[in-house]
Amino acid sequence: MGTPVRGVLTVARPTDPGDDVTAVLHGRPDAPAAGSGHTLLVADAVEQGRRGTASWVERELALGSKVYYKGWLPEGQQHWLSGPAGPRGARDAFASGQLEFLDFPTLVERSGATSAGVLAVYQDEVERAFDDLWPTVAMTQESPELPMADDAHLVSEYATWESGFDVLTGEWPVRMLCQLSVPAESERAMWETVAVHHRDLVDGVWSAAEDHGRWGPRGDLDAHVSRRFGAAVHGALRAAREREGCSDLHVDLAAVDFMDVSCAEILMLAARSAPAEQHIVLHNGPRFLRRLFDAVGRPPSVRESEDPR
Amino acid sequence: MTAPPAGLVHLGLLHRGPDDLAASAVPELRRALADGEDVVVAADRATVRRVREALGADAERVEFPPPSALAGPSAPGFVAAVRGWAPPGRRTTLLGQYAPAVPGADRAYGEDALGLVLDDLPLTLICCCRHDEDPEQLAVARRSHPRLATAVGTVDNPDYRPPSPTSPVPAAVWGTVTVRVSVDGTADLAEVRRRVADAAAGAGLEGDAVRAAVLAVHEAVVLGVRDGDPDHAGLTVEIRSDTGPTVFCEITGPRGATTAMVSPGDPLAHVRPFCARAALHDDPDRRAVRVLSTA
Repeated sequence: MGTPVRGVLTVARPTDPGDDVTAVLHGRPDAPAAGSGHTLLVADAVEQGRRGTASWVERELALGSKVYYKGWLPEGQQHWLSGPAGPRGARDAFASGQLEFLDFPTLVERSGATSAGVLAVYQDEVERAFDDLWPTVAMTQESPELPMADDAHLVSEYATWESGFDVLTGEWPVRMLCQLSVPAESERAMWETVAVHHRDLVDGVWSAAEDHGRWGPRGDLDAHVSRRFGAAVHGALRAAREREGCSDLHVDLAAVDFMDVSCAEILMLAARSAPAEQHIVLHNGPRFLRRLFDAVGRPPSVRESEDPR
Repeated sequence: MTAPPAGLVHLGLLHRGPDDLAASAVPELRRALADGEDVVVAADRATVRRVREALGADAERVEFPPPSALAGPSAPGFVAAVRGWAPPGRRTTLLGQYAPAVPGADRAYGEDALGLVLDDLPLTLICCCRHDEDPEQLAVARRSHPRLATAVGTVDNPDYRPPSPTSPVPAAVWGTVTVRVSVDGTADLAEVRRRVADAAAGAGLEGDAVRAAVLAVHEAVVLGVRDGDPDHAGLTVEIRSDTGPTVFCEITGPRGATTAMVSPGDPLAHVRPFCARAALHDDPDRRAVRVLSTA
């Protein structure tokens, strides 16, 4: 594969140590500090996404990971990563080679925008990092603004390379943070991106993770995030159907702090629209949530688990 | 002797003058005295005189404050004032009279408010209205009391009608605004929920009652946001929670252009299972959604 781009950015230290560059990722207070993972970070606004990403990169640099960053390099301007909103330590990391930047046009050129090409680029980066004796690898990319609305083939390719990322992070000590900037993406792209990442996503006041075969949303599920929650439910149901054996989706509700009518309806409607043989099995649902589901109408395809309460 | 009533008993008493009033009131007043309740009669001097005569020695156990001691039915904080008439730990029976100076509409607001939030109050309230009173006031008295006090005891009132779910009760009867939150879009919902939860807990609601109050107000705000400019909904949420275990929220904002296109049906149907009362008031340019939550 091609030569990585090193030190192409002019990196400046934050002008004020008190600048808000260390904001933590919200919604996953128990997120492990290390270990592999493939996480989606959803942001309603560009600045919000940058704050979360900066904190993630900063943490990875502190942990001693090799960090690969892919994004859009604005013409004639420095990238935000090297500006005051960027992560602390970025200048030294660029200089030492711990942090590398690859702009999206170059990535497209190298990968051909195919799933095989994209995965080959990432695989090459991971192998090169371990050849250089970095203990862990952190990879993050900005919202790609793929024209999914008009290109079903591209949607399929996207899903394939994201599955490849799951394999990559499953086999190696690699942590990957995919960024989704809602204002930059089409509705279709937002939907597919969240659906693909339903196993591990962080979206402001809510997040989702999969653990021991149970999909667990957590935090506040409300009208502000209902479309994204719907996409994640859709993705979880789709993934369950692709499994061998039982296609039921087991949903653990123990960590849901709040759910409004729109999200409850989405969950129930998703169950209604699923194939007849697929059920949604609810685990650890608080009494009030069960009351809410009853109020919006619970279809027969939604059932409570028989776990002891 | 029958078992003493539990919770609020809201009686109407329709009369033709002091003698008739006293004759209809005395059976209920005697029952209250026999049950060991505190008894208060806030009435004009002629009525007080007749009641004293009818009760005889038992009148010594009755308090007779002037009518002005009672808050008007549309006075700010009226609900809280009524709650103050019934000290905790005891049951009170209170007789008051309709004052001609109070407009009928204001009277209706107050009467409706009592039934909505004070069901648990250990109070028997006897509201007295003359048959030759202003017709609007008389109509309010007839329809707002489930039972009537008469010379033969209390009887069902065939003219009673439950309060309309869209009755525009003046918000001030629920107390003063303790929290005010501006909402421009769904991104502000989390803050609204936090403030409602705090207010509900502060008012004494617990557990699922708090969760229900939060959800009901949240949904009412969502309705307002969806009906208006999605980025600049311009809503104001006002919370009143100083009337006991009760949270009253009013969400006001411009009436959206889409309102007229909303399909027929109750737009608050999904809110009602989670609150004691929800009401929608539309003016040509303004919409208000009110949500009342109780313990």
